[in-house]
Amino acid sequence: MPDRTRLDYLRDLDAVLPFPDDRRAEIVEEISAHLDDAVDDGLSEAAAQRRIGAPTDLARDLARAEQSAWRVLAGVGVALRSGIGYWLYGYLLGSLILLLGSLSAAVVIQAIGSWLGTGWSLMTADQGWSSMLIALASALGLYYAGRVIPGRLARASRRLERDVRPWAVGATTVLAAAITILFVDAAQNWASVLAFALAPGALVLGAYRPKFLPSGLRAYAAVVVLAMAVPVAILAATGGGPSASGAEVDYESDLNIPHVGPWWPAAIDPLTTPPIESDGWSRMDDGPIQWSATIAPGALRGFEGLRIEAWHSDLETLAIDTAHDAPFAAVVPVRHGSMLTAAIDTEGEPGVAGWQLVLTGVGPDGVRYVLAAGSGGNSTFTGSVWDWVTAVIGG
Amino acid sequence: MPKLDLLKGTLPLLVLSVLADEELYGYEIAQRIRDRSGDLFGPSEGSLYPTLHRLERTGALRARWRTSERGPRRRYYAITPDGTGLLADASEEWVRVSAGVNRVARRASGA
Repeated sequence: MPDRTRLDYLRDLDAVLPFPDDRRAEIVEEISAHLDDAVDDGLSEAAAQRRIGAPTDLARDLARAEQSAWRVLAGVGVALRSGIGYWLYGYLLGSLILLLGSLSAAVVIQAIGSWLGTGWSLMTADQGWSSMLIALASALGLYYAGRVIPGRLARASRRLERDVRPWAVGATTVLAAAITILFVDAAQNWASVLAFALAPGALVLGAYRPKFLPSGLRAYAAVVVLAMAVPVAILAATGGGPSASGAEVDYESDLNIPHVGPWWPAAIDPLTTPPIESDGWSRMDDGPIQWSATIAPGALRGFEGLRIEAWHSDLETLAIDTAHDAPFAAVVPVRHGSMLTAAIDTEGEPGVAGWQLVLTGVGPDGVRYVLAAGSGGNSTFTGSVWDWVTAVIGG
Repeated sequence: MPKLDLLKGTLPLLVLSVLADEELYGYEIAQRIRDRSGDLFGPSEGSLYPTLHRLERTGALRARWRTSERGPRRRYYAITPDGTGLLADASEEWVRVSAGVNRVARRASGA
């Protein structure tokens, strides 16, 4: 045991004793008096400390008399309750910071865009980015939970924090990972998947590097004020304000439909028999897209292999993305009299943000034609991180 | 080291024995055990406080803070009626064990 001052010895002892504050203070005072007496009787400070032993060993022996299975169970309960409380604290704090930060960033970018005339905007239809912010806020919550869980478990179970930390952190990290990876259903993109998957690591960080982030609200308040002050100053300097955002969508473009296949000539010539008179889609309660079309009498005669195909498209213009040679989903429509309907899932494919629905069929000449197109929209993969990963691996 | 193992197991008996007559604090208890044994052995001071706290927790001892002659306040321990009963049981057990040990040791030495 290296020589150390009385103060260091007692401080170390106080830090490792797994007891309530008043009890710790009493033990520290009692040991301090013992060291006083030993030194008064002629022992050196180091020898007196050596006789009592290392603070860790003394604390472990003192705690052993009060250990029991019930205390472990109580400790788990206390640790979980504290962990959830601190997670909530960190989550709300993180949400506030990220919300204000995002708003500030949006204002700044729009102000700069307005000044430069570029129309820049942070607006996006990809809800995965919102999920990423939620995951980041949750990670902050897990960091604060990680800071308190080992200590609370140690004191309630009368065990040294260093003894229980690996178990406490291991178990709660696995639990947090199971929840964030398997059970949290959200709109996902690669960034949100990464954020959710890494969030449990924040718990480990909190447990082993408790001073990595400040604990006081003051530091965060400074960050928030700064985040708000910067855009306000920029707005004041430029005299600008948020402008209309986003690029204008040119719905008159051809939406790259020829990339799918040739149009059935009759489909674009109103003087001949149009196979599809009108088509559109709707969605109820985040379910699959319900596509429907009205069919002219006698239309589609001679056509086989009808298919509603969902193609990747640009998020803003909804023009089909020519980088993809095949649709990401396809279903066979069902005919009811003059109605043709289909239900197609556009949220089950990772990486899809914009999509375009195209009705195709094999004509009498054996060529697959485009019969209807122009029904597009936005959606984001929705599910857990595990769903996303298995969907990516499954192709 | 058999002597040390034996001493470790008998620390509660030694503590209760020296507290049977008077109220003492931790350092005094250690000194008293050392003195009474003729400096043959003294308790490990690292084990003394866990033993005192365990006996207090089981009701064999009670503790209170009061100022000492040596200066700042000390935590004094006193034996309780439960502790007196425990001391009697432990002493009886020790007599039986030590008699058994003696018999074995005498036979081994041919006495």
